[in-house]
Amino acid sequence: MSINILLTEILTEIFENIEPHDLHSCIFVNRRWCKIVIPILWRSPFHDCNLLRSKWKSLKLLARTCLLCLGEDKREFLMNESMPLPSAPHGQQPIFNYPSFFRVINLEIICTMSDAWVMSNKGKCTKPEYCKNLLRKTLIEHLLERAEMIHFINLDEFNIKPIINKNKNALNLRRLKKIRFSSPTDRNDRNNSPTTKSGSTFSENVSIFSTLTNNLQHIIVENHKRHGSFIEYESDTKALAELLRHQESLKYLELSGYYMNVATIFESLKGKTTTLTKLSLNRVDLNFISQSAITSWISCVNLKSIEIQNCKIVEEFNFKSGQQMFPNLKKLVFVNYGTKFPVKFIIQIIKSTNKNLEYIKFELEYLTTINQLGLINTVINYCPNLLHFDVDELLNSQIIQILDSCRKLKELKFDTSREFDNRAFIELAKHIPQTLKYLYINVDCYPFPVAFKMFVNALNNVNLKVFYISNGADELGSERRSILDKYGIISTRIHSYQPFS
Amino acid sequence: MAELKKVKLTSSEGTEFIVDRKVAEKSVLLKNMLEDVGESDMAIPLPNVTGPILNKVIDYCTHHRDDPFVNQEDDSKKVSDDIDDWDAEFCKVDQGTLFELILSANYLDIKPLLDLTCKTVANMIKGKTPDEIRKTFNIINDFTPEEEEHVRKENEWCEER
Repeated sequence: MSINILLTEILTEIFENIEPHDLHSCIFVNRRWCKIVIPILWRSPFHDCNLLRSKWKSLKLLARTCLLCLGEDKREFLMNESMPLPSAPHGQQPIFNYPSFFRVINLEIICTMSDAWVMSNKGKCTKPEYCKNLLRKTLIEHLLERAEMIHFINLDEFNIKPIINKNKNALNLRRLKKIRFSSPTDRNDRNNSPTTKSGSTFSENVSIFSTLTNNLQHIIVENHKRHGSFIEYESDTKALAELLRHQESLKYLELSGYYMNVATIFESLKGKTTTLTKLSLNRVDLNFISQSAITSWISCVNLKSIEIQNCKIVEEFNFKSGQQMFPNLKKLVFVNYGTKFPVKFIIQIIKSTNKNLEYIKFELEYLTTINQLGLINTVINYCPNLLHFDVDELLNSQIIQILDSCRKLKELKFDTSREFDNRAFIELAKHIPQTLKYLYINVDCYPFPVAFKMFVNALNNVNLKVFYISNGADELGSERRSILDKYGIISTRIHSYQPFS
Repeated sequence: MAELKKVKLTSSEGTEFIVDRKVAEKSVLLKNMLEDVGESDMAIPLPNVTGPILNKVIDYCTHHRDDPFVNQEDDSKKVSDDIDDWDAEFCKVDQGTLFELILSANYLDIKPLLDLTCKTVANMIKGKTPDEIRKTFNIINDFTPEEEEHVRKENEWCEER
């Protein structure tokens, strides 16, 4: 029995577990593998990469293959504009229709790859800036037209409205599930349409999709600019609220760097109370949020994941006590750097989860002691099913209480306080639940090796696999390491296991 | 108590296996069948699964009988290094058995077993050159040198990273 008996669908499933670099080897194995792997490899080239300059050579090569696949009309058009184009050896056609495999249309990547092509043919381009613009537009159009299964469109400051309006009927957006509007991470200004009175590029890009689809499941808005032109008008928020309202089965909403009043956005969640499962807010100004916006938020009873990072609210909200808010919540992230936030709200969320929470990440450094105590106490009392807990400083007594009350923990990460000494370290071992596999601790100074011996001896029937302890400066040292080693515990930092990331 | 009910299964050679209904229901195919048929003492024939493989599959389903049903829509990223110890041990079998397990998991529609076995094969592929992959799985290269060069050229972008 050999691997050849496996169906194409099953081989596809196997290859989907492999990263692009290893996948590249698979295309040369034989013809059958090649036919199966190429479409996977081309789904989203460079998707998870930072587009650094060092990648330019690869991006240029990607542009080359995409340009080889151009249709006659576009090829001719670019030639008339004296754009340097690649020539295939012996005039061969490309083996595959590569653009048809694209599932992710990422404007940032397409634009950077166009730039890379123009820059590497600089000698042949008389007007590089003009050429770049032209090539960006042509390649975006080319990929949008050819891609057969677009799942995800990633937009930046490039105004896509004219291209979409021109090709409306040719676009296949039936499978489009996810869309991201993001300000470019690089400094390259790609704003191809000067802002008019009618609205910004952002709102034009957002509104065009309101008319195109009502099937989006995942909407991301990401602004990297602290102050700037990416989102600045009320019409931007209006357009976004409109887009949300149109989507019938929105599941995930992520906003980051949103400094406008988001009340209308929250209010547009009203119809999504059963579909929305994830809400992530990062640097969102919740300061002037209305009571009706909050009501509409907490009516999303199926939320499984809430992330609130560095959001600002000064006022306390009014809740009815005992109100059931998120009975299905499994994941909660709360990170607060210096901005004020009513911790009561977070406590209320935890209490309302029916003890279902499985994943918590907290960064509470800037909270007052009372607020920190209050939050950690809530975890101790209301999270018996917690699997992953990642938190900054814990007091010795809090560590023990958490270990004693969260008996299903798989992964725990925390910083110790100044009072953490050898004795506390050994005490800790006695309280570790059987399920704990990954433990990460930051300490001020390492316990003595003899304490390590007592630590492992005090472990009782525990499946601890990885124990990473660090003081942030020195190595753990071979003596301590070998004690853990003997017990079968890995003391280096390995990839943590996070099911909801 | 429906949970304590037993189900009879017959492998391709006609060997009979008796398992808890809860274990059998790990297979979506069997679950649907059992729901359609209702209560019955008749053995369910599985002509596509041999005895030794069915035995392994039952082992797997018994060990994971209490796992919650994973929602397939949750698009958490696939990571092939988070295989459980028991599962890793379970997959230490010869290639033939592994592929048969994949086929059975697919046929019986046991998604977590299919995922596990596919990940295991993926791990056998990772970090290998095309030639090493061919050797591992006994595959013959049917590319002509020109074809191979053509493919290489068009996919060179991926090589550079």
